[in-house]
Amino acid sequence: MSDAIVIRNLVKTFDGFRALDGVNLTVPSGSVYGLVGTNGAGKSSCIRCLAGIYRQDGGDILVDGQPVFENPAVKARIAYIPDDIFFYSQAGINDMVKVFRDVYPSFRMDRFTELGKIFNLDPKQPLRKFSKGMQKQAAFWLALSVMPDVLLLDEPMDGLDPLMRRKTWSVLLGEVAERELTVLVSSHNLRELEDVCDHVGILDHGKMLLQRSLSDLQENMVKIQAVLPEGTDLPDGLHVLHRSATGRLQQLILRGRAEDVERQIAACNPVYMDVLPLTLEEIFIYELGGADYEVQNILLS
Amino acid sequence: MISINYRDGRPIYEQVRDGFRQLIITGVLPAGSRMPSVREMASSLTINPNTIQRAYRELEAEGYTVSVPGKGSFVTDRLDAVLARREALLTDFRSLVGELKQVGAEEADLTRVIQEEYNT
Amino acid sequence: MKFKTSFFHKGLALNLLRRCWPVWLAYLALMIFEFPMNIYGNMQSWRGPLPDLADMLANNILQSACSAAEISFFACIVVVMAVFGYLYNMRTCGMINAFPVRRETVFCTFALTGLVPMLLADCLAALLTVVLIGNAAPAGTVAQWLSMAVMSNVAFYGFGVFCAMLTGSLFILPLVYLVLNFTAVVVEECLHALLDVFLYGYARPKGTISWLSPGNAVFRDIHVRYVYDRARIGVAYSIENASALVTYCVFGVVFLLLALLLYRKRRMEAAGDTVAIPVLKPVFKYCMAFGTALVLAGFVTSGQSLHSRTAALLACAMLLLGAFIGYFTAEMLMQKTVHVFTSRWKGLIITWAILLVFSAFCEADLIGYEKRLPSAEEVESVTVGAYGMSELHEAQNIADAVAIHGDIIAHKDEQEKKLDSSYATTINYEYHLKNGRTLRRTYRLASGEEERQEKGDLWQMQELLNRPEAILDRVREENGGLTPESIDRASVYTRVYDERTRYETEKDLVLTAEQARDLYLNGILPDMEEGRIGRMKFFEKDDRLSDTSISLELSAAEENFLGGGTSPIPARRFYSSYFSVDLDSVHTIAWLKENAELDVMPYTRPSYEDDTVISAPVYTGVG
Repeated sequence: MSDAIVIRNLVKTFDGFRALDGVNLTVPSGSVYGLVGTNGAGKSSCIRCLAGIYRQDGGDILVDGQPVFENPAVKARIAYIPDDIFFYSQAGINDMVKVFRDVYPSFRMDRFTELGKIFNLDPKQPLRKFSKGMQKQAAFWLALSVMPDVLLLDEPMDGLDPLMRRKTWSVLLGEVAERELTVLVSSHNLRELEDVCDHVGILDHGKMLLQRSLSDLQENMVKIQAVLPEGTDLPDGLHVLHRSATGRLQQLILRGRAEDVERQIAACNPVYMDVLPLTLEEIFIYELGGADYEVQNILLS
Repeated sequence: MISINYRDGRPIYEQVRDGFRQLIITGVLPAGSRMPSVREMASSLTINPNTIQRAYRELEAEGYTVSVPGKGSFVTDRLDAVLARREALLTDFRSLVGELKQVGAEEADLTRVIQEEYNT
Repeated sequence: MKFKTSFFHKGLALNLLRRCWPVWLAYLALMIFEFPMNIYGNMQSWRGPLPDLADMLANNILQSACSAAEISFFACIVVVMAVFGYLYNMRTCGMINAFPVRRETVFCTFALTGLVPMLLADCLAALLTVVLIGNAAPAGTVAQWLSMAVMSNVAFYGFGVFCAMLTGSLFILPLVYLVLNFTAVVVEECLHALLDVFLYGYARPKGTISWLSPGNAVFRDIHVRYVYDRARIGVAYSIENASALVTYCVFGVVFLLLALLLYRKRRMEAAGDTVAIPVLKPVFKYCMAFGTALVLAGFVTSGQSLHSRTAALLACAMLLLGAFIGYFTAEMLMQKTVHVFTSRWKGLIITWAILLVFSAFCEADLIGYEKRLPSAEEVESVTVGAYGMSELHEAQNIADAVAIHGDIIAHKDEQEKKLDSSYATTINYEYHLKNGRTLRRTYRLASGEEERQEKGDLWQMQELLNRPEAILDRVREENGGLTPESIDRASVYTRVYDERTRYETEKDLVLTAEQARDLYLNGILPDMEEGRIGRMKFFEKDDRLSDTSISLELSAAEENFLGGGTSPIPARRFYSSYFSVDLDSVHTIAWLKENAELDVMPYTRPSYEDDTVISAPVYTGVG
């Protein structure tokens, strides 16, 4: 399975400010990649470079091994949904379809009609009259009808109600499963990303802090609550990332596989031991070196 | 048919795997029937298809499902074999427990082992 | 849809047309209203003689052609804003640029789709006109209309698209377009006004760069000219300076190509910025600073009548103020905030320094412009005068002209002071030097009664201009070479003051051609040769004025290439030559007494302090 998206040392400067300062990013084919970061971290700029809107000041941006900028052959297979969607006044979805059909060779009318049942919007109404959430839905409708190989989403679920979010992800994940659609989604909502992503990357101040597959992250960290017998301490050889206690109840974050860590702790006969779920947020915090204020800041926004 | 409990400490793929195992054993998914496609499951649960894939792989490894190239995954029609095996193992277990008792193992020890196994 | 290199994308073109069709429809309606409907309406309501209909239509069609060019100026920028407006908003910009279409294709598609409907509208309007008026107008006039409409559209559209590439803001675009269309001519005017303040004797150079301002050309230079003849021979209309449009049209295409190059390099993140090209940011800032300085100083100084040091100080102050305004306005526009005053003063300080140096340099006349005086030996001939100019070749006259010029220069301070309190006459010098070069100066000299009594500079000049050589040259020059044959008739006017009604009227005696020619040969010409008639009169009071004046009506043949024809049409040009008879114009007075029984009397001017006196205007000088 090759990589759908490869970004190497991406640099982008705006008026002397280095918004992207050597970003490295890899998205395997058929995966859902979550791009996380604060506002101003560079997520939107990164995605716009990927969409071929900005020309990078340095580095390579490759989709399916081909550079993106001014490359219609590759751009035809990329669909992009920005966070601030724009439609021309008086344009309805049908009008946008005409444009998309002309511009994207892989646009499929039958798929459009099929998806219409899910998105349930009036294609003749001017898009200006729709709510922001409905406009986003329209954008998804159009983008998916293009049958892209790569889908770039910038804060896509902003403004969508929970039901619509579910519906939209449902369709997206269906396509990921069925035809290896690659999705790159930037978001603040770690809770949402946790389910749908299989890879994540954290962008901060124009640099990639951390980029891993989700299973990698989840399988290498364990959260354990335990009460140890009087006088005993944790066995040696445990890689403890964080430790706190309320009375005799210890809260531990440890590196390692759950079964291994459990076994090791069990060896000292704890009075009580329980494995607790770790949220993606917590994983990030401890991966990045603890409950640092700055790190918290990145993730809690 | 499967629901995910996000408060559960277990990884999602485990919940999916266990959920299906339950459905197969209780016969909700009859032997020889086709498993829902990865796509359907990913879509309806809104979770990453890889997660579903993983659960399916484990079910297959445990022998509950069989994948036919080009056709998908099917519930094993050899479930009886699996259940029979379970029965056989339980019988073995019983005799093993009897033997342990004979050599002086405490009930508490046995229970502890059981507990440990079931908690991993 | 393949990705071979194609430069036109049908889908994008159709989308643009679907979105913005009202713009082109409005243009079409405007063109149809302006041309076929207008012309047809005029034709239908024509009540004059039929042969004149063709002339009237020709005139109207060509007028309409000039209007079409003016409309084009505005229409093109509107179309450009509609077509390229997407570049100024990150959202639309992002959408178009995410499409799998090459930039060249996008640009060419949009550029053509913007222009072609306008040209089609022009053709349609022309076609409709031909259908409506048939053969009624001279051949080629409608074609001329069409070519002017098309050329001005290409010119302004190309320029508009180029302007669109320079900025990232939809509000700034029309301003840039407007300013750049008139920059050359405005800068030129302001610079002349400024130099006139700083340099005593500043004469505007003959050349001009106003052709660099297409807006100026279209609104001021290009207009219909007609020559008509009382005998109705060779009536024709043509458009002045129409060939300039050809140049602008070619430049329009060049600008379009430049715009393509800029578009390929454009940073799409410039959407919303005032200046889209980083390299141009300081250029914008300094152009705004110097430009505003120049314009403010130019306007203020040309609108007031201060002189010398005071005026120079005011001009300098305006330059500094203008630079301040321009500089910080540019900063505000670029940074999109009003809080720009706390930083980046360095650029303004530099600008101020340059302006101060410039002002001081000019006012102190460090290049010696004010003091430059040729020696009489250097001069081949000198053309000198006020509203009437005479070319002097005689050595004595040249020497005296140079001497007077020297006095004028020497009396700089006095002259400038006098201008505060008296009227002035503008005197021009144009030396043709023996080395082939030309030296030109212009002075405003006080023309009050004091000046006349003191026999100051202006009085000296007046006497020089009233020498025979000067008079003869001036009169001939103004009258197409005055010859007896060219005289058609004459009128002799005598002023009469009625004490009772307190009105001043004129008695009028008409002479036939033969009489007029006789008067000229035996009266006026001998007097001119002695410097007794045809004088320049700069002062209100003149002791030699009589109550009589003569007007000669002349005509001269002229060849004109009119109406687009290739062979010249004989035409005539008409002149009116005016002489006020002075009390010492002995030959003229004698002729009038002998041939018209007319006694020439001294002129008794009613007192102007008494405002109940109403009079005809007092003529001074040759008309």
